[in-house]
Amino acid sequence: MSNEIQLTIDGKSIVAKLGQTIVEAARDNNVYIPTLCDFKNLTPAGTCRVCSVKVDGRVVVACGTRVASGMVVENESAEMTDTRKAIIEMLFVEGNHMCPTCEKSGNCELQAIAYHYRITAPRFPFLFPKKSLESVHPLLMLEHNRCIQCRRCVRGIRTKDGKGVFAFKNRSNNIELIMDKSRADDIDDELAAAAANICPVGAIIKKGVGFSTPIGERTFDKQQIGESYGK
Amino acid sequence: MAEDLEKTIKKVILDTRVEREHLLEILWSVQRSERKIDHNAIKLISKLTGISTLDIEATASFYHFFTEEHAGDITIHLNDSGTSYLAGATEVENAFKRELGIKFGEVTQDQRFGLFFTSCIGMCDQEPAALINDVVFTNLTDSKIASIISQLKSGIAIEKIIGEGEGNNALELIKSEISNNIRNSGEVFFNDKYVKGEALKNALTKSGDEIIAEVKSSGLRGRGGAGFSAGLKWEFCKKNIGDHYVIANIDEGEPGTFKDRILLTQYPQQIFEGMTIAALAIGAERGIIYLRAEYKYLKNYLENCLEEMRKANLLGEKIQSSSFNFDISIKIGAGAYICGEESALIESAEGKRGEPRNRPPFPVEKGFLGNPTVVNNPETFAAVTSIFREGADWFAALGTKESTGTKLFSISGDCERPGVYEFQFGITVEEVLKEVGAKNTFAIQIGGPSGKLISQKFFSRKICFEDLPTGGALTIFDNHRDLLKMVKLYMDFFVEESCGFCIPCRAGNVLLQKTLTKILDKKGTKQDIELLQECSSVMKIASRCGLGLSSSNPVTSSFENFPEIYDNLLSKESFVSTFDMSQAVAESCKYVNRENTFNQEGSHE
Ligand SMILES: Cc1cc2nc3c(=O)[nH]c(=O)nc-3n(C[C@H](O)[C@H](O)[C@H](O)COP(=O)(O)O)c2cc1C
Ligand code: SF4
Ligand code: SF4
Ligand code: SF4
Ligand code: FES
Repeated sequence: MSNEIQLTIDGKSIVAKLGQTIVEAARDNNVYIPTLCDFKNLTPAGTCRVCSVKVDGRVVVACGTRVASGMVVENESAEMTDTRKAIIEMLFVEGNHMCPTCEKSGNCELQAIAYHYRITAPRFPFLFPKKSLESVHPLLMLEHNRCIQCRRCVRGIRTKDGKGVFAFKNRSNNIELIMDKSRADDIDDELAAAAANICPVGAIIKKGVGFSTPIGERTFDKQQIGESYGK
Repeated sequence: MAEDLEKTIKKVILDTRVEREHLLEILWSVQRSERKIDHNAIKLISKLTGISTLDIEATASFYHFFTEEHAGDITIHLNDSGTSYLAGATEVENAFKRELGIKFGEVTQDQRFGLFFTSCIGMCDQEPAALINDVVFTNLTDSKIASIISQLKSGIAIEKIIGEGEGNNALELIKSEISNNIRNSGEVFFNDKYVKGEALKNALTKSGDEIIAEVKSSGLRGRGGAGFSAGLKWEFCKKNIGDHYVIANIDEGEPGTFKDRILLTQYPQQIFEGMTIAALAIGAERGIIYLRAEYKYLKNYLENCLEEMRKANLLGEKIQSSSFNFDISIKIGAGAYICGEESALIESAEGKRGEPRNRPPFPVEKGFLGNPTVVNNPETFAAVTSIFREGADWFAALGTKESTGTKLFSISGDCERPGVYEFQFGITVEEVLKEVGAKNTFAIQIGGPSGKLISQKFFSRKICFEDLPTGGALTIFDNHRDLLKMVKLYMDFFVEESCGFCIPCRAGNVLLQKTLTKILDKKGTKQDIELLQECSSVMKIASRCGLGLSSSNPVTSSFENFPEIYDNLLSKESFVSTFDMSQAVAESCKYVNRENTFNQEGSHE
C-alpha cells in the first residue's frame, strides 16, 4: 500500500505522506501556512491559532491536524486570511511590542508574519497590560511584555536530565511565563542560547548578545517570511 | 510551623500514596491549614513528593481557591455572578466591607478575615450567597451579614452560625442552610420510584453490548449541554483498549445552573448506580466523581452514601456476587469553571492545571491517565438508572423524538418560584415561564452565559435539541432589568474563567469586556459595535475549546435580539476620546501637591 495521499489546498492539488500534519504537507509542497507555536519536533500545542485553516467546512489548526485522502483545505480564503490577521492583531494588542527597540526585530516571527500580511495597525484597541522585564538568570532575561505564550520554550527547553525549565502560572489574561530558578545551575551557555532561539519573539533574551547581528542583516531583513514558498 | 506543615502534607501523602494525581489534595491540605500556599510550602511539597517546584507553582496558581498570600483564617467568598446582582449583591457587598473594614481582595490586618469574590457557586435560586471557609451561606442580607460577622468575631464556630436547611441539607452529614427548592414532580427523577440496586441488578443480567444497545435505544443524550448520545459514547469507549474509567462531571459551574446540586443532595445513589452500569457496560473498574470545590460541603455525605452502597454490595469487589468489580472515589476541584470541559476536567483530576487538551484523541480514546474514559453529566447517569428500572421504551416515549426523557431545569432570576423543575423535553418557553410564575418577562438567558439571551419571539419555541437546546439553565429578566449590564457581568465571568491557553479567548474576552464597559459608560460609537462583532467572530472561528467558542454568545445574541440596548447608549459622534486628561495627571498632581486643573473636556483652564 502506498503511503502517499492526495489533497487540495486552496484548490491546488498536492501529494502528502500519510501521518504528516497539514503544515508539514504544505511545506513540502511549497505552500505557506503561517505558524508561530509550531516548532520542529515538538508536540503541537495549538496556542497561537495562526495556522487555522478550514477543512471540509470545519476550522482546525493545520499544525495539529493530520492529512487525509481527499481533504479539501482552505488556507488563504478571504475568511481565513482575515481571521488570521485578526489573531495576529490580537497577539499585538495583548502585549506591549515596541519593535524599534527590540533585540529580536528582524529575527522575530510575529513581526515577520505581520509584515507578510501587510498589517499596519491592529483593528483592536491596545490593552497595554502591566508586564515586567525580569532578570531570571545570569545569562537570561524574560521580557514578559513580548511573550505571546506560545509555549515553545515550555515544550522544547529541557535540562540534560530531561526536566522542563519553563512553565506558565496563573490563568486567563494573567497567565505568565515562569522559570525554574532552582535549576539555574543546569542552564549553561548553550541551553540559554537554545532558549532565546526557540522563542519566536523577543521574550527570552540572552544577555550580552542582543545586537551582535546588526539590524538590516537579520533573517527577515534578507527574505520575508513565507517568501521562499510558491516560487 | 514548618514541622506542622510537613505533618499535614505527609498525612495526605500517606492517605493517598504519592502520585501525581493527588497534587490537588495535597495543595488543599496546605491551603486549609496554612491559609496560603507560599514558596516555602511549595518547596516542601516538592521535597516530599518529588514533583518539581515549577510544576507545583504552575498548578497551584491556576486555581482560584489556592492563594500565594494569606487568605485569612476565615475566608469569605461572595458570589459576584449576574444572578447574585439581580438578588441584591451590591448591598451585601457593602455590608461585608462595612463589617470588616476592608475591601474585596483584602485581608484584615490580624489576618482573621479575608474577603474575596468568586464566580457562581451554584446557589442562584437563593442568592446572594457566599462561601465562608467551606460553608455555604444563602439569602444574604445586610442584617444577616452583620449578625454573621459579629458572631464570627466573637469566636463562634462557622458551623454553628448557619440556619436550618431543607430536605437532606438538614442531615448531620451535610448540615447546610441550603434549600433544595424542588418545585414539581416528574417521571424520571423527582418521584419515589427508585429502589436501591434494582437497576443494577437488571443490568447485571446483560452483556456490555446489550447494556449499550439499551441505552442507545432509549435515545438518551448527554445532559451536560452538548447532547451527545450516551450509548454511542459508551460504545466508542468500550472499543478502545486500556483500563477504562467512568467519570461523573460535577463541576457544574455555568452561572445559573444548580440542578446537579439537587441530584447530589437528594438522589446521589441514582448517580452512582448509573455510573456502575456504565462501568459494567464498558468494562471499567474505577469511577471518579469530580466535585467542584464549591460543593465540598457534600463530600462527607457522599462518602457515606458510597460506603452504604459498598455495604449493600452495589459497589466494591464481586458486585452482587458477580465477577464485576467497581468502585468510586471523589476528587475535589479548586475553583475553575473550565474544569467542566471534559478534557480539562481529566487534566485536573490528574492533578494538573485544568487546561483543555487538543482533540483528537477524545477522552473515550485517551482520557484519564491516557486510558479510555467516559465522562458524563450526573443527570445522564441518573437517567440511566431509571432506564434500567423502567425500560428503554418507557424512557423513549417521554419527551420528543430527538430528545427523549425529561430534563432538569435550573430556574433563577425574576420569577415567583425559582428552583429546580423536571419537565419533559419539548415544553415551550412560555409553559416554563407560567410554571415558575414569571411575569413581564423581557428576556431569558438560556443555557447560562455560554448559551443565548433570547427575546419574546422565542417564547413559543420548544426546549429540546431539535429546537432550542439547553443544559437546562434559565435566568429570567423582567422588563426593569439592565440587560447590557448583565451581558457585561457575563463577560467578567469569562475573563475570570478562561484558561488563557489560546489567544482568541485569552484576549477576546478582555476586548469584549472593555468595549462593553466603554459602551455602558456612554463612550461607545458605531466603531465599537463593529469591534464587538469582529472580535466575537474570531473567537467563534478560532478558539481552541468550547469556552472560547461560545463565550461571546452573550454579546452576539444580545446584539441580535436586543439591538436597542446598544443603540440607546451609543454616542452620535463617530469618535469619542477615551483619554481622560484629568485622570491621567491625577497622580502626578498629587505628588507635586498641585490642584488638578484639567476639566472633563481636557482643556486647561
Ligand atoms: C467551558 C465548558 C464547561 C463545561 N462545564 C460542564 C459542566 O459543568 N458539567 C457538565 O456535565 N458538562 C460540562 N461541559 C461539557 C463537557 O465537556 C462534556 O461534554 C459533558 O460532561 C459530557 O457529559 P454528557 O454527555 O452527559 O452531557 C462543559 C463544556 C465546556 C466547554
Ligand atoms: S517581539 Fe517581535 S513584534 Fe514584539 S517588539 Fe520584538 S520584534 Fe516587535
Ligand atoms: S517566552 Fe517565547 S517561546 Fe516562551 S512562551 Fe513566550 S513567546 Fe513562546
Ligand atoms: S478557548 Fe479559552 S478556555 Fe479554551 S483553551 Fe482557549 S483559552 Fe483555554
Ligand atoms: S502554529 Fe498551529 S496553532 Fe500555533
